[in-house]
Amino acid sequence: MNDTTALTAPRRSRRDALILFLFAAIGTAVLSFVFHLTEETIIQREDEEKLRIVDQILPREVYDNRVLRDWIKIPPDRDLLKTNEITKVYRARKSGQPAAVLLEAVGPNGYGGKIRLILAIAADGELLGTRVLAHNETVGWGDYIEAHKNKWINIFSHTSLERYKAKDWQVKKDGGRFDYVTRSTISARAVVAAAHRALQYYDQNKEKLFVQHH
Amino acid sequence: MSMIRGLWRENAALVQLLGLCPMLAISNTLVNAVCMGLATTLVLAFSNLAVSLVRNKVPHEIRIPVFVLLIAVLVTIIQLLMNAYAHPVYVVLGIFVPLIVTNCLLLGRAEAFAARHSPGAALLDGIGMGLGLTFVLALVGAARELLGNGTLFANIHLALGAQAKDWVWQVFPSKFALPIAALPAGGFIVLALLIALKNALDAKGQRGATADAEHIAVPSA
Repeated sequence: MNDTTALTAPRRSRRDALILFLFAAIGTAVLSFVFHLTEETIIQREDEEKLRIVDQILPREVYDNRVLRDWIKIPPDRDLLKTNEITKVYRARKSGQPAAVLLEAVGPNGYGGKIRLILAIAADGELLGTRVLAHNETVGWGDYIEAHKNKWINIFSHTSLERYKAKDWQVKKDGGRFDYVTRSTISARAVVAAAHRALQYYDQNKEKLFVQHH
Repeated sequence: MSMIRGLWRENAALVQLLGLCPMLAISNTLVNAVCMGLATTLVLAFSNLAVSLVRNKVPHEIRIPVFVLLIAVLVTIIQLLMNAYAHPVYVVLGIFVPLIVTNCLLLGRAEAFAARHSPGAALLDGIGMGLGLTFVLALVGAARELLGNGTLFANIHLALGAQAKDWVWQVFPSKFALPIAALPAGGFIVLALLIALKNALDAKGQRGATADAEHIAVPSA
């Protein structure tokens, strides 16, 4: 440490401020350099990451556009999607015609709070598949909703509002048509209800969701 | 010598009890724990080096903000690099990578060691402390994964690529596992057991040393 007693207080403050500023400026410069160096790779990795999930629920033959580049933002929807923030809807098209959407929805009433889902819904309203993006269900109990732990989440493939009536959209225990894992019913209940509401949201908003530009 | 100190006698996790946030949050599997430990080691080594290099240029009054700034810059660099070149690991570690900034171990070593020693010694201290933390994280991670999941090396393909996918070792069927071990409570329990074990080993070593000393020394009245 330098001997600082020789300087008067105001001069010392000015010098300290200058030193801090210099460190901040150098730090910012270094960071912006590394940021630009890595920016493109990071975007590429993030797209790959998203596509890995997309490929699980939306078959490639359904669409021919760059689905991650075709999106609109939709406002929070507290009724059906239970989202509190603006979310992105990705649109899959085949020969320019609407093929499917990727929609985020929230099941607010999981055992550990919110369960965030992504759903692929075909243009005709068929639910192609869904995956859990984030959840706080108990490890070893409610986490069977994750695709890599259990096949359960696949029960939503090829369901739709047409094929499943309102009362079918419940777990079997409650009189519906969906399986669940005994002792962790709450997790399944939350996901089933969220998927049901998301389909209703799509049904009510499908024209708006495929609007061309964003 | 400065490396041995971090690995055992002043181990960050077992003795200084610093850096426990990643310890409990991310040590639910061996692979997560080691990745987190290595990321922290990298930051710690460079932050110690950087702090030591500027130690004579920073006035005493503003040393803490400057150290925090240096640490934050380094963590952000590591975060960007991991995001770009070790993306799967980055996704798993998530928020805990940027949270390395708040790991008291970093500022602790900057203030207690790096600011008073030469760059070379500071770098070695950082590596030693980091590896000591990684070692304990790995033990906790292995114990929690084994008890909580019945496996070892789960998710190893995230760190080493798809060809490592079959390296996961299912030691016993997961239906016999204790889910609590994978929860944060399990982290506390395993860490407590490790601290107890280290204390027992140290006490035994000391008793041995005292016994030897008594053997040689003239018994006092």
